[in-house]
Amino acid sequence: MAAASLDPGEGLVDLTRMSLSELAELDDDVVARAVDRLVGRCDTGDRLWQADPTPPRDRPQEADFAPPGGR
Amino acid sequence: MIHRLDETEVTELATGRPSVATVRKLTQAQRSKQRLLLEAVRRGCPAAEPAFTLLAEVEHTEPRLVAKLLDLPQLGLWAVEGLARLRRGETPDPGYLNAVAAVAAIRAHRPCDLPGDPLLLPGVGRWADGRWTPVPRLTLAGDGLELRLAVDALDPRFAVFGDRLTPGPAELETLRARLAEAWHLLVRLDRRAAAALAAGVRTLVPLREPGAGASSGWAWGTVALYVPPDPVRLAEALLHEFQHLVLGAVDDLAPLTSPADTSRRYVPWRADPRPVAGVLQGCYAFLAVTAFWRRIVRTGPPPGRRQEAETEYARWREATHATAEALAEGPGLTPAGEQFARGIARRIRPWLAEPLPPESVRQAETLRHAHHERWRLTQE
Repeated sequence: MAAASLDPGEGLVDLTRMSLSELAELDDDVVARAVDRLVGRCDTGDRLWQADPTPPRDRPQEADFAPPGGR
Repeated sequence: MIHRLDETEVTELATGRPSVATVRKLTQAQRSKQRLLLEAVRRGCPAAEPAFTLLAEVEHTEPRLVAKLLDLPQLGLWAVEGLARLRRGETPDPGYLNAVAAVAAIRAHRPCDLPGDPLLLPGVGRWADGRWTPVPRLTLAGDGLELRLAVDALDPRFAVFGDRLTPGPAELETLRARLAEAWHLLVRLDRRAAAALAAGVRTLVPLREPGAGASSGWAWGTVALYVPPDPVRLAEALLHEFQHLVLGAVDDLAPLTSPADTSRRYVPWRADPRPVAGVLQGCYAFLAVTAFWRRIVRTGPPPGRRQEAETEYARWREATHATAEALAEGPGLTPAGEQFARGIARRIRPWLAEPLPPESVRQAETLRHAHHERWRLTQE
């Protein structure tokens, strides 16, 4: 598959060289569309990746740091 | 200019072997993303305007200082929470941004109102009860390759990862020693993977619960971990969390999964059914885990750990390969996501034929079967 498939639509514009003042001058529509592409398709909590509380890393491990308030 | 990945970079990424240059490209894209999210919050939150104004004023004379602050991973978590609040018709809390602006002002020797007591200065430290606690910074050296980390358990934004361990001096020394040993092992085992990790990871949030590990697609460069005494398990956990960050950054450039797919599926590494994005993320993380154990087996496991290493390798090569293959064949992925699922399977496939002692293979099969059986029973 061509790399072009990784650049759907307008893509993510490079803003790293823009100052905060320049960012503030962007059109509302441009910002809204770009944010929607990044955030709109997922719940903001969806992108937290946490180990399963009963994981395959399930070898017994001893807590070797003091518990809260235990120090 | 648009952030793009060329075909070589995509191939590297899909098979879990990004170069340092590719990780730097992802970092640049994440910097753009964070600026965009912050600007969107600014537009919906007039209360944050004074902080943005102060940051913009400092930026005139100290652009690099402000750029570093805008890149703080915890600020990404604040921005996305702010956007979520705006969506719900609520107002984002500007207090956190005020604190970031205060850091800019202090460092630029400008007057500013400090946000209060206790006072958190993001990425720098906390003033509370008449005492200053800095965010410690560690530089781990391994055969000429450095991993630089801020160890940040102070920032409340990182509470999202779980119960944090705020290390005192003795615990910090313990963390440093464990991380140094794990880093040395990682560099020796797989210098390319270590170099990529060092190019992307800059903040460690130590967690209290053994086995805990987390990362977020809104906090580039941050891994949250329980730091175990075993350097092998610690190195494995670092690689695992870094994979999540990398795939999340790719997903920002090219969505990998279809939001229309709401199915939940079995995965051989968790007890709960997972959405397609979680399955792909898991495959990508366990690709690195598989490659890690393979190298341990091939380079000679630590004394007394041969069978453990062989069993881990046997278990995860089969489980990850099968899951990635099924994922690539089924619904829920975009063409880019399919390319990643196929890349994962393609990298592991030749490893399936590598000989391992029958006892270790049997043990791996027993563990895989038991995991599936437990899951099946909970579904009835």
